[in-house]
Amino acid sequence: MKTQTVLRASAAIATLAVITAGVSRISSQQAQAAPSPGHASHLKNAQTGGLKLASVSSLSFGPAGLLLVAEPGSGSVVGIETGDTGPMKKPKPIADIGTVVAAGLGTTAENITIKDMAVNPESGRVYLAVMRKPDNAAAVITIGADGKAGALDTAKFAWARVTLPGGTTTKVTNVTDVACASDRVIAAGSCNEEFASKIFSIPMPLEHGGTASVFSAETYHVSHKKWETRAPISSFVCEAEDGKTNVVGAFACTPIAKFPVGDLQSGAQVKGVSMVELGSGNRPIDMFMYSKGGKRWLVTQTQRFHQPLFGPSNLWGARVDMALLNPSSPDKTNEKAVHRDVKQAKDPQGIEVVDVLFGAVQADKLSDEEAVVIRDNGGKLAMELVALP
Amino acid sequence: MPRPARRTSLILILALLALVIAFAAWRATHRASPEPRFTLFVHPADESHDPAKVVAAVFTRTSEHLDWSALLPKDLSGAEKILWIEQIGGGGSARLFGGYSVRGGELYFTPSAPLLPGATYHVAFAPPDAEKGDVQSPANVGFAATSGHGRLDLMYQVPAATAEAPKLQTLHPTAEELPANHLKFYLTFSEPMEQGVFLERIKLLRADGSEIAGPFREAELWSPDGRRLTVWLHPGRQKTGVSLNEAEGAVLREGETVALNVSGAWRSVRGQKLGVDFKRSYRIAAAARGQVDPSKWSIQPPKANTRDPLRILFPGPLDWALLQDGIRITSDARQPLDGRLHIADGDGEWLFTPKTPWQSGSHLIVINPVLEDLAGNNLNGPFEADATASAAAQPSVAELPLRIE
Repeated sequence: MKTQTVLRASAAIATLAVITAGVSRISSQQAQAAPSPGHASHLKNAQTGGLKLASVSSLSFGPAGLLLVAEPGSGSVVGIETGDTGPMKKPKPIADIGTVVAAGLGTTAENITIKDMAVNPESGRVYLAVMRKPDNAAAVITIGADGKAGALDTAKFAWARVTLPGGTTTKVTNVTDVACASDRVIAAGSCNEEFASKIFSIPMPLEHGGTASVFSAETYHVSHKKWETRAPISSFVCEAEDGKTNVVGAFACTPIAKFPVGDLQSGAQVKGVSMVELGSGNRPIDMFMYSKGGKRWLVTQTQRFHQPLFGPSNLWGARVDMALLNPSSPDKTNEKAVHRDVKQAKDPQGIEVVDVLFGAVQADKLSDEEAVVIRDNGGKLAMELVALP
Repeated sequence: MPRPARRTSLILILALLALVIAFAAWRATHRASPEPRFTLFVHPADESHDPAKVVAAVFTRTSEHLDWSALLPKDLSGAEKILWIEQIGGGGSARLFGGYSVRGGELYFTPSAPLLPGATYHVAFAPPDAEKGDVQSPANVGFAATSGHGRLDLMYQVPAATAEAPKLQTLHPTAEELPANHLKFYLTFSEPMEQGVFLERIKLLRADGSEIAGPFREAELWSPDGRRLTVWLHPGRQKTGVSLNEAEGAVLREGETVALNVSGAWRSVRGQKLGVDFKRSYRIAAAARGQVDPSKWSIQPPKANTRDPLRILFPGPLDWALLQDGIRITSDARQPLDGRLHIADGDGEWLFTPKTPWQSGSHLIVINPVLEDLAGNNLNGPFEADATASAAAQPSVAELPLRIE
């Protein structure tokens, strides 16, 4: 019997070796959430199974459950067709999300870092980019309406990886943010050794092994009244204006600037227009847009490293009336960009502190009414739903 | 009937009966068990045979006929209730995240992250209605299997990591003096290191031992192999006129001495600490604001028909990482020469030893315009250049003639 077991195990081992050495042959019927039949793929030359993420820094959603993962270790953007297309359900809050995620990764809360959070706009499911210490293992964790956390089983889905073209001397290794515009995927990244602002544009469908156009961004930095080519974009969103794509990005020294990338050829320099200055001493963490009361708002979640603080935490968020980003008058750009009046929580120019974002280390939109935040409650991380103003 | 014939018939009947009994007995022993007999095993997830990268799998002796759909729906939802791995110790146990699949009649669970060195895991298979098994079995160090009709439990221990401590191999700049507007440090370790902690592990200290607050840019910039970290002094504080610089002042002040301290508590990805703190002191000189100008370099050409190194002496140290690929020697026809590079004298000297002896005649020294000094000034202009056209600097010459005789 023992011999039989050993033989059977050996056979299984051989089978396993074959399976794991090659592309996984999991049938689509076993996939948890394979894209529905007839659904047009947003990937080209897509790979099936076998996806291993070297690292994760940022997450974002494209259409039809397309998850975009910024992978800084390889300087790449990975698209994953999760098939998570709804129906829309609100995620259930979790009081100690750090411990829940850490336990599922076999460790304790102090040994994980939640690098980013994205809410799937079609299903309400929450996706977390997580790195484990000290081994730097990367995982994408999802939380659904039942409050259950689990890892995205990357082995099951179609995916494509695009490596961003390098700088003048070195590879791109730092991918700070990624987002999907109507016809393309935009990423911001930099090389370790060069201080430069680079915007990458990847055409849709995302082609595995394909490449990206690269633009050098030049922006007027309001705080020191100079044109800059060298400050990297920390966080951004994509928006369309007259059918053309704009990247609205924030820098470490906090101007919010708009970059029209719609018609540019690779290698071009894109001139950003500084629109709003939130004040110095703030590092942008996240941005999202929503509509309410007949207005479109841009929310920037920020870490403040200066005194005085604007409320009970150095983590704070502001919403900016998008009308300020599409001014009819050029008098309100660059050196004449709107400065937030830091003495007013509700600056009548259209820049307001969002109280529910104090203490949030991550924030993303769930709907035009609500956002999901991960809040640092004295060392414990809580995932909450908050009403947007 | 004659007696012998009756005896023969009796023998035949008895033999037939014996055959029937033997067949019945054989049937009884070889009939399929009323319940399937399962085998649970832990196995390497891939050909690396890394004991931390495993799968848990279940098969039955009749697995080719076993229909998992009797136990699980097609999408395998609920599989976490019958097959799982949980970590033991650390004040409790929790089931690991992972993915399920059925391949070749076998049910697999693949944890979403590798197991941890030295940790013990409980691997369980619990078909519906099965009684709790014996989980007190000793942990198997290494891959293991167990079989039975009902619930199955295995203990699996990942071997501990080797105790050898990682090392900080190099810290650049190696110069004793830095300009007050210095920008980057490069730390190279003997193996990949823990990420997400560098701001806690690296400190910049003043001569009195006090810590300089917030000196570094928060972006964590590792090389793809995870061994080299680029640490930037906060450009917003190092650039004049930027609000951060005006509010908090520059990180470094001319005339002082500072020390970069790397904590011995920093762990490698294997979980082993560096063990000892590392400290290097630097004197802070005046800020460097001019662009890099190769026409001011001192070139010491080697003799033809030798493999002596070409020496280039810079007026001050240049950026070590950018020097790796920033200067190329070519023939007059711009064919790059193959050879070995050495950077010496506090990153102020560049030596190139060709693979084959130098040919006499004209050569070129071709310099990448983004080659920087320690303050980020390059051939295109100073770091603090205003990008408006009127203020743009004229790029320095990026090619120098080299005559070998």
